[in-house]
Amino acid sequence: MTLIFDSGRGIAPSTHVLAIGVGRYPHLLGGDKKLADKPMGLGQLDSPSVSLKALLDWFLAPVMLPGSVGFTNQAAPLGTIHSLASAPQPVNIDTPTGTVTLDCATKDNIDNAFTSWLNVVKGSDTNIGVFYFCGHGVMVSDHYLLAEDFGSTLQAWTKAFDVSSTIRAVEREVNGALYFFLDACREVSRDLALSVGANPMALMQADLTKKVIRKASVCISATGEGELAFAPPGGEVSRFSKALLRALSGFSGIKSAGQPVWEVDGETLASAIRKILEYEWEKTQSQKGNRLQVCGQLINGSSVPLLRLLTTPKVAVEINYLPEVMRTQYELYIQSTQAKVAQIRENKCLETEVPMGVYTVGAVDPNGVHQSDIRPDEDLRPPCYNLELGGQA
Amino acid sequence: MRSLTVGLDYKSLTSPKRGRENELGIALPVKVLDADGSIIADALTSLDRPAEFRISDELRTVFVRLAWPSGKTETKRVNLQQNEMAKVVFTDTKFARNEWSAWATPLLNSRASRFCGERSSGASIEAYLSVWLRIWQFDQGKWHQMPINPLMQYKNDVARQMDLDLVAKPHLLQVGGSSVPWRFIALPSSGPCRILLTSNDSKDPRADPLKIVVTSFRTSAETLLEFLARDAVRAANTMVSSVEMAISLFEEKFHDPLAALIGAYYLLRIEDWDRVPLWWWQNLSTNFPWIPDTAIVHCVRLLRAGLEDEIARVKAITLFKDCVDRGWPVYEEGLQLLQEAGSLLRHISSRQDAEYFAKVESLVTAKTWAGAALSFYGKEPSRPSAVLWVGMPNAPRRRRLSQPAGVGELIKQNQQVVEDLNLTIASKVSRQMSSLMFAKEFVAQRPPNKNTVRKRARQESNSESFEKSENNAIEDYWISREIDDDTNEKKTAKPHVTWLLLGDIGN
Repeated sequence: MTLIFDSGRGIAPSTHVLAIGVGRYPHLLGGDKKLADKPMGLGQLDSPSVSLKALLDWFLAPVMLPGSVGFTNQAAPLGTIHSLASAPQPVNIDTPTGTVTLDCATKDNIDNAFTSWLNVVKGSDTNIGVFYFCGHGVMVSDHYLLAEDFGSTLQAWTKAFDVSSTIRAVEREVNGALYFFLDACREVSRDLALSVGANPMALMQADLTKKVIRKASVCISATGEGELAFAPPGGEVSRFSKALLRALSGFSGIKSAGQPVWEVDGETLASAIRKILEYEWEKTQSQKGNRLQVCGQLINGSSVPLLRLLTTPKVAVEINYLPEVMRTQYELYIQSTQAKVAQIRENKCLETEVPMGVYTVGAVDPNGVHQSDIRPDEDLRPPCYNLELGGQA
Repeated sequence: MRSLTVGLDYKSLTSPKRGRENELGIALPVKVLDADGSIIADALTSLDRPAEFRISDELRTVFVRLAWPSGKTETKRVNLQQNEMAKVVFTDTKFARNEWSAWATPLLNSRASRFCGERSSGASIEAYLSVWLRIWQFDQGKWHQMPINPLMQYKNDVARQMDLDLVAKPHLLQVGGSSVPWRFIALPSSGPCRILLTSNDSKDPRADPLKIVVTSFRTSAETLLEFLARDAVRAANTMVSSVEMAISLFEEKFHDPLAALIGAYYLLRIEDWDRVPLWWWQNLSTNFPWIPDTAIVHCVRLLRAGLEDEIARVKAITLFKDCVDRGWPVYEEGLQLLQEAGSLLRHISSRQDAEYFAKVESLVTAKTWAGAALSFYGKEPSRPSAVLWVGMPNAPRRRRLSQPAGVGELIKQNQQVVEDLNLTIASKVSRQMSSLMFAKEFVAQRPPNKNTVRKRARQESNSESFEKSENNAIEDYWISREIDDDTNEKKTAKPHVTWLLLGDIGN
């Protein structure tokens, strides 16, 4: 099944999602079918179906259980979700109408789902279209994404598509806002760069007689150009999708003027994802082979928020004291204009979550023996804030 | 209502000798926040024009956040209880260690503490003193090496800087070394240009070891472009205050075409390109051919509006080709547009134009990050390449990629597609052309040493080998001068100093 959710809002301003996860590639390394002529070193992926499911669950959460953390936008509520997944096992999604098994993400299915998604996004001038892809990607100058059946024919690249050109085509068809989240590698593959016929088409050709009409276009990629995207081993949500979901779950946003609403637009989101990826990397950078993943983005047009939150965005706080041997001598705290919101006097970092705002953070010795380190007016903005007080380790 | 004034007192940036006539100096966006971090107001503050705000009486305390293009911010508290008129000033006393390098601090990442006077802990430049630099100029359809004649040179233990005066032609700075990949950085031409080189402490895995920052002293316009290059559109919006300011930048094109170009980039980015008449774009591309970007902004302006007829189609393709023919864009924003235009136009262009699309594809694949300035890897300006080259100018060697098996066969296959006259559309041919360019990087041999050059040149004089054609294509490539005995044309060529070492700057 491709259309897994339809709110029935029709042409009323809505957000329409097309989400694709491709982890099973039968014709790539480790696949169970005839190996493609040039597999480019690409094999099977554990993460896409898990990442996709996490994203779909997040979009559907407030529909399934009102009040839960998930997609929130009163100006453009969730309209439809189209989704495809390729994994060794069927991917099942719980929806308000029951559990749905997703269709495979073959190129033909992607073409059909894209056409259907585009039609609903075109339905209103204030619609928001969300396109998510998690799977294999490569690039030369444009970004190519691989469908499940890549390599199934001698013309391997007919089972891939040029997403960069697709975006340029859609910009001429849709009046509303477009968000593309591409959780795929953007490595310049030598095999691809040298291949004959490695020239995949877009999901639709741009009609150049048409004007660019979209209000906003946001494309956030898991990595910068020429880089690899990563996922933890063992079938976990990929680093990028995890950062995306965290940013969407209350760890990004700026206040809308004169309203108790915090808006999450492309710029805010891209910045939050970048910081979360960096923050997570800093915590684990000592692990062998761990490399910082820096997302890339391209933002055009005006600001059209994807989310409109009704609560103040949060900041994940981590305050440390160095040298660590002195940490037990100090109380680490964070204080708003009213009162202390968190404090700790143990041999560990102070980790907490606070609403965004201006705080005082500090380390004081309750016995008054050691010198305090107090930083007033720290500007805590989502998604995270980390500070080392004291001296050096 | 209370009044709040936010000033900028960057003393290091107020030297009257620096900059262009009428340049107001740096201006940066500031936001006024309440204690919850909600934005109350935003505006631009500059050296000579502080930002003025009216704050509600209900607020006793507000916070003012100043943003740099690098992403670094500085926040100050303002208590409004006592004062009807409050004032806060941001100064550069913490980072203005050297007046000559302070201009670059807002463009360096937030960990660029080496410019701080009190806590100087920056990485030394010493490891890069043997990095070489050379400058290329685009003239009469070709790139030529130019002698480097700095007007001023500066040095300290973490950075080197030089001031140049450039004529109105495209220029590229090339740097390289034994551990620094050869790359180019576009220099804004026509007038004074300053280049600062320092070690790069970015955590980004794509970051080059040497950070290069460039200014042409159009401080406000360049700051706007730096925000755009980082997709900080909200800050860019504050920079221009209103679309009218971008329009005004554009309007002043005959006074300062580069600033006008930056205005054009902004209008395209926020999709307000129809706020100025088409003939403004036309004037920009027609009157300033020495800025290749002017052609591509005009081209993309036509594409965004839709190509309604054959005349518009031909015009758009011509402008795209003009941009490539005039050298490379000066700014990264121009490369984005070149990529956009190339991706769209290759499907409606004929095979004769395929080479243009292939060149752009190579440039996009070879690009690297240098803020707002265009930057890309490669040995020669006309042939950007994803293959990384390192070493001295007379001893280049490849890095990262090994020669793939059967590269000769791949070249043959690609060549067959390129020569297939049944393929009439550029998009079918251009991809294979760029593959050919890429493949040839692998078979390009290390330039022969001086003693064997003459012999090799004679041997190859009648051959059509790739190595020979490569050398012929790059007239001013250093090896060409070495074979000057063999051709009358080269007899009169006078070798000149074509590169200098970073360590020599300021000595």
